[in-house]
Amino acid sequence: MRTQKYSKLYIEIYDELNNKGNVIKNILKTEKELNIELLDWKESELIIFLKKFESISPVSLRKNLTTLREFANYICKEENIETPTFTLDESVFMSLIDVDKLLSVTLSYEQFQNIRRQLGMASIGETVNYRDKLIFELAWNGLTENEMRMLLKTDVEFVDRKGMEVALLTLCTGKLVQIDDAEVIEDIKKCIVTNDITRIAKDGRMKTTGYRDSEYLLRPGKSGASSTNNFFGKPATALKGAFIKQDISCEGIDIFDISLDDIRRSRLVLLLAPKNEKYFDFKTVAALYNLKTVDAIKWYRLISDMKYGVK
Amino acid sequence: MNEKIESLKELIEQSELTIQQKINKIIQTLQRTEDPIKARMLSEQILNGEFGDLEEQSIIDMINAFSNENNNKSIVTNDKVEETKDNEQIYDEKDDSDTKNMKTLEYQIKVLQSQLESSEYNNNKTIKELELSSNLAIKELEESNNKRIKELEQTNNKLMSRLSLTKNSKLIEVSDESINELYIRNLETAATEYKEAFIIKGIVPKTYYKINNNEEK
Repeated sequence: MRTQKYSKLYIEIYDELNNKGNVIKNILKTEKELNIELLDWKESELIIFLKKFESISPVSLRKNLTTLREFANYICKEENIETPTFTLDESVFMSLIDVDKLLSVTLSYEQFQNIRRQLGMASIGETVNYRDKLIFELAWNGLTENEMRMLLKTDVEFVDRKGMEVALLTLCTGKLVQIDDAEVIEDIKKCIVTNDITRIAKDGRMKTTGYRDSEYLLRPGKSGASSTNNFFGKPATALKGAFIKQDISCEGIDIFDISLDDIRRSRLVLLLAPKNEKYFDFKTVAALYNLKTVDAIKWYRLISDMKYGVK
Repeated sequence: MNEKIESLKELIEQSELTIQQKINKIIQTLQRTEDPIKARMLSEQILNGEFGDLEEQSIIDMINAFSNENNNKSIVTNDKVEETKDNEQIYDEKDDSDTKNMKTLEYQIKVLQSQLESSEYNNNKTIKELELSSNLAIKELEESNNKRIKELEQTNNKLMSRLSLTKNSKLIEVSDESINELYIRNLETAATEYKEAFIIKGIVPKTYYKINNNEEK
């Protein structure tokens, strides 16, 4: 098949950074299974190919289809033949998403409040593990893992807005994020001044260790890591660890499968819920999340309808 | 539900807090059940007497918050509201006309203050929106800069690799004798090489770099 001939060269030219290698591998695998060459693929073959990614977002499905089109274009150009169009209806994308899986990792505001209450690990009546709780809260407020890692203490500014305190975060990506939630603001302050992290050890006992000296807001602990980085490299892993060690649970949510991206997406889905349409349209939400276009979040409305019910 | 809304309206009106303090109180309370940004948007509407599709729990939370604020920790019942109204009527009847005028003026000032603060709030909202759009522009600029930097890095890498090629190569100078001999042989037998000389596109280079494979390894 022609794909075999060109796949190696294509991957060499267009680097594997954007996961193109994985897409090409899945094309070859699907061709082999169906015994139909890529250039002869119709909708049914494309569906079988896209299902291989077990995606919970149409955005990633579209990316995979774009890579497939680019690869086919490349082959056709080299062979000097006409390129097939490979079109799929928008509704097909939605049908390829694992909705049950997606809803089990999409939090409502009530579920968010519930989990964060549990994350405030209590020791003699007070919360002691602010860092992991803050990771959860920052993800809810739209920060990606990398933006959290690189957030310096000096990137946080507390501002008085008409008698109410807000926190302004200047992210490494240049975005400015305003935090209105009083509890998050309080946790940021605590995270800046706290010098110890208290965790539950393997034997079930509470163990307190110091934070490494660092200019970053989320700091790594002094023990347990051989790395000498003074920024905290693994916020997602730490949060997952906190979920497991603190035995966090929430009805309707697959807590051990939830990622920072899921938490981040949950708030977007909430803002676009039918009950909130009077207050937030696509444009407002895109502006709040510093997004260039509204296209990437349009499908969230469908998830909102499924999560919160059509108005 | 309507009774609760009426009680809340009364409590907000009775509160001695400034309009901004009332807005802040509403936001803080609403954050328990609503997203903070939505709470901010709702606060202004609530102060204007619009309660829209608020959940009952939010209304109860606000009644409790304002009751506490007004040093009255229990929820105000309808009886109490009516009692308050009666008292106000008796008090008003006793007032002379000057006091009435004063009250009207005070009320008008209060309304104007509310409008002023509301327009200030809207201005701040616009400023925030502008901030966000300028952030977008900065991001685009950074992306294009990063792209340019990447291109320059690639060019630099190419140049560096050429430089290293030159470093690892040996400069060969071809003698005039070899050039002449190669020309003659080329005419006679179409030979393209003689000793260190060779022909490329009809030209015999006088000097060239010979890549030293051993050094590269």
